[in-house]
Amino acid sequence: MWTRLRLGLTALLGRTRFERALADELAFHVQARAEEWERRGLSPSAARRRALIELGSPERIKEEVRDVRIGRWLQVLLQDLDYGFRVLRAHPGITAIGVLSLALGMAVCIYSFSRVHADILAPLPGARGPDSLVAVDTRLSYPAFERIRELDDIVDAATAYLGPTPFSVAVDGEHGAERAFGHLVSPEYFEALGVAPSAGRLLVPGTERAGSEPVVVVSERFWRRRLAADPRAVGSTLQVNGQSVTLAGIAAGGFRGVFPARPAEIFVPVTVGAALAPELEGDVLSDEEAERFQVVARLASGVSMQTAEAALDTAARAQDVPQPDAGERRRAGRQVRLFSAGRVVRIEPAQLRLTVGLSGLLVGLVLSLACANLAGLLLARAGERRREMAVRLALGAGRWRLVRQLLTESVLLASGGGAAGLFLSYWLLRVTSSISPMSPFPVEMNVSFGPMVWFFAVAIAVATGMGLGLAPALAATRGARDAIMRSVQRRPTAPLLRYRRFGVRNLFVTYQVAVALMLLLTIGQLAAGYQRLSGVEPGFDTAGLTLFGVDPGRDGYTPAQSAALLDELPELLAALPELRSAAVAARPPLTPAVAPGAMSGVRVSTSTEEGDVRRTFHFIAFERVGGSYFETLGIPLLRGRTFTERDLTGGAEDARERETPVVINQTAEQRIFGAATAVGRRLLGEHDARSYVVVGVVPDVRPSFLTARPMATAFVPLPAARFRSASIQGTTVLVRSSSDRGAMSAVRDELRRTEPRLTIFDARTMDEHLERFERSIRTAVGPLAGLSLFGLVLATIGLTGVTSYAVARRRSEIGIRLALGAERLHVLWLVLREGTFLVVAGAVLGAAGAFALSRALSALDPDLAQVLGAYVGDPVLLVGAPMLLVAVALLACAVPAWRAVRIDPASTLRAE
Amino acid sequence: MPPRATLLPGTLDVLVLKAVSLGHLHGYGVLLRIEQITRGALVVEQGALYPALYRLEQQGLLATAWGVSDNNRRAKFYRLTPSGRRRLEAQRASWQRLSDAMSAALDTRPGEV
Repeated sequence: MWTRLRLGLTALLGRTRFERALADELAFHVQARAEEWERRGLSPSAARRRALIELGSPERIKEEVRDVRIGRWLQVLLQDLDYGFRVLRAHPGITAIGVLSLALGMAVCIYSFSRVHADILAPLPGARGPDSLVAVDTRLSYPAFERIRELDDIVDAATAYLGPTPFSVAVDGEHGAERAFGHLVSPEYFEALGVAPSAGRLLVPGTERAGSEPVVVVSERFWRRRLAADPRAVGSTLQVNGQSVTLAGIAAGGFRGVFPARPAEIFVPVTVGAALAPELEGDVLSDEEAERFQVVARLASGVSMQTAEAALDTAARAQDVPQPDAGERRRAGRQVRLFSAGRVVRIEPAQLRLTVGLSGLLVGLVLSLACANLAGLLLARAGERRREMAVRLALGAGRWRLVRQLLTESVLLASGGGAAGLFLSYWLLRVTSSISPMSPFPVEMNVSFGPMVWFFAVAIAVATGMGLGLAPALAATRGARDAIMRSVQRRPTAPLLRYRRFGVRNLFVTYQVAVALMLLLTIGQLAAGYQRLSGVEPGFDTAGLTLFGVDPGRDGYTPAQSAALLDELPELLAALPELRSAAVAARPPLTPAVAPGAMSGVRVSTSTEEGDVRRTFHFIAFERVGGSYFETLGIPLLRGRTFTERDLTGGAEDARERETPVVINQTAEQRIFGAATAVGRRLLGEHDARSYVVVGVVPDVRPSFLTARPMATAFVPLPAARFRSASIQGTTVLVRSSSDRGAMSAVRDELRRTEPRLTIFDARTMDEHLERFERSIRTAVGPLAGLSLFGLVLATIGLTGVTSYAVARRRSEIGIRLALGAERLHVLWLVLREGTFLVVAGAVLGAAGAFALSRALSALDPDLAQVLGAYVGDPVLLVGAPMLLVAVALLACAVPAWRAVRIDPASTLRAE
Repeated sequence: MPPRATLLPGTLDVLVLKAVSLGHLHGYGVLLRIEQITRGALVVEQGALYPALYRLEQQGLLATAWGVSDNNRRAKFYRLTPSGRRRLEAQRASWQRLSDAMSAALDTRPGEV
């Protein structure tokens, strides 16, 4: 086989060498023949002519030889392909199952490979020499970074940045500003990362100094999207956070910051000062305590990660002033840890090996599971085909020829599966990449189908096809031809009596049935739970509610101006004819309570007896809201009052002894105060040591997504002064109108007129806001459902394989039974019995496993516990999933069983 | 020169195998050897010889190597592979049967039936 392959390949590729050899051979022939004629008395020229005439046209000979060489090879290949296609068509069931299971298996493999490849194996886009880049895992102060930068023998270069940081950017000639996320960087940023400009210049350490003309650098994507790819954009002026800056250059090579999963589009040097970037307020560049900067360094050649880690650790803490309480804790252990920064996702080297190894293992497992099953099925069929093979061997077919034919068949099957798997994984990638995690800044999982992924897909398809087909092919053609003929004629009689009940193959199938049911039940539980949760009413009317973000501090407003603006904004907007009311809040309603500080412990003190502080902790979500928040959302007041003007503007910020008024929800009331009345009682905040007094109680709203039960929530006034240093997501403005339509444009028109500097971002209706959560859940459940389908298909294939195998081995037994007058139904049951036993055993194990799994998941994660709890014994699922599984499994057994009883007894007896 | 017979289709391959089985030969040598062993009764068309040689090589029945001919020129030599030897044996037996059967049939006289 190999010589033929080699010859065929040289025929196709090494054309010229072959032609030359043939020409040499023919020339030799002519010469020898001419000498012969000369010996017989012809003149040399006549002899030569004669020899040439005898040989005929050398071109025609060459042509014929070429045909022989290529033709033979191609002919065999085409023959194999044709035969393979015919066999696959002749068994549409096996082919469909094979392609489906391989498609699923390969989709999982291709998907995880492209993920690992894009995140971990592919280098950081746009950066030079990514392998020597390291990042410090904690945030450091700017002075600490400056000390690290001086470690010449350890690092070649280093840079510090703050990010992701939002900037409001206005382009000249464009209406209004838009938000863009970027990095506030030390001037060494691009130099250290080795990024080149595609136009203009990047930042230069010596040039960017405090007081020098402020410049920024943008990404190519920003240049395309916002600057319309204008070739003259470099040198033009942009308005960043309300200040004029010059666009110095564009970063080349798709550079999107040092951490492209959180892309940065604009790069502003820290030298621009606090007037432009509020993050720099309070002298953070010289403050040892302001540990806010992320540091990335390029290691000098030959410096190991360990050496660097130790050196950087020393440098980072060199100026640490001993602190009485916090100091000890901070000093214990190493403060600085390094990990590689030259990849899209940062990962420690040890973890890298683990991740790659683990995903490789997982992929291998999944694929081998799919293959083992399918191989079982093919093996069963190979058993059926032994006779055909034996006959063909006896008729003189080479064994390799047959093996090659069978391999072509399985490679065809695998290619079909691979092609389908490629589509499936592409779809999977699209879906999972479109999930936008609930995060205040953009997150991009940039996964694309590069050449490496294609290569991987083809490689696993071929390898799978080979691996899959080899065992059945060898089994079908094993042994000398006469031995096979004998074995076909006289089968071993052992399987007639007893089917091995605990064979490895049977255990494998039982296990698959169990896992399939476990997956079906658990994922069904999750899906049903999510469904139920997402169907929960939010607790207020979402129609006509629109929200958007503002961040005046980044639009050039002074703190006083910001405070004034946000104080007036609700009234200003509520006065519009299109709107009914408006309110501000620190964050959007129904946001997952994962933000740091969102949940806080409080201690409850009784207001009647002095000093009697109960040491019970309650976790409460704190929501900072402005006036008319409850009105705007349409949440009625149950008891007490809402915030007054005085609560909101009163100097609660500066007077520590003053009590902050708080409105709590019913859950909080019940949990903390029980049946007693809450209004007028006090809470002591653990997080801020502040005293709160309950002034009102409101009904529960669904506090966040994925939570079945309402969370205990305390609403506290949002003081206007807080807008000075708004978080990344800015301040949320909520407006209610009679209809969704027109509200936002009315707001935009009004604000453009009265507050031209203000940037509006993230505008969406409340329903769209909710939709974002729902979608992320739906997309999370989708792949899980796919996984359980995969399990089901695998189990089905396994069962079909086992039953087919059993049937194939018992053909003659069944034939004899039928010939002796056995009832067809009886024989059917004989075959089904084995499969049924496996299915029932698997189902019992699977149900138990699903129960244990959901318990374990609930114990692991309270959110999941709520989701799983929401479903509590859904009868449709509890009965439906096992029924579905059993039905499918029995069908898988029934098909071969049915084929078995349709065996013609006469033909079996003849074969005996 | 004896009267010449026409080559039956499919016989060239066997003749080539047989010729090569008697010793390593180059292409021209195969031609001469066939003439020699058929005592000149069968003449091979020279243009058909080389495609046949390549076909047999392709099927793994012949192996080739470059060597030096009697008159010190570079030539491609053919040699029988084990599977070529088996094929030759099978073909020989089958020809033997065919020819026995044919001559028995054709030699039958009226009285013998």
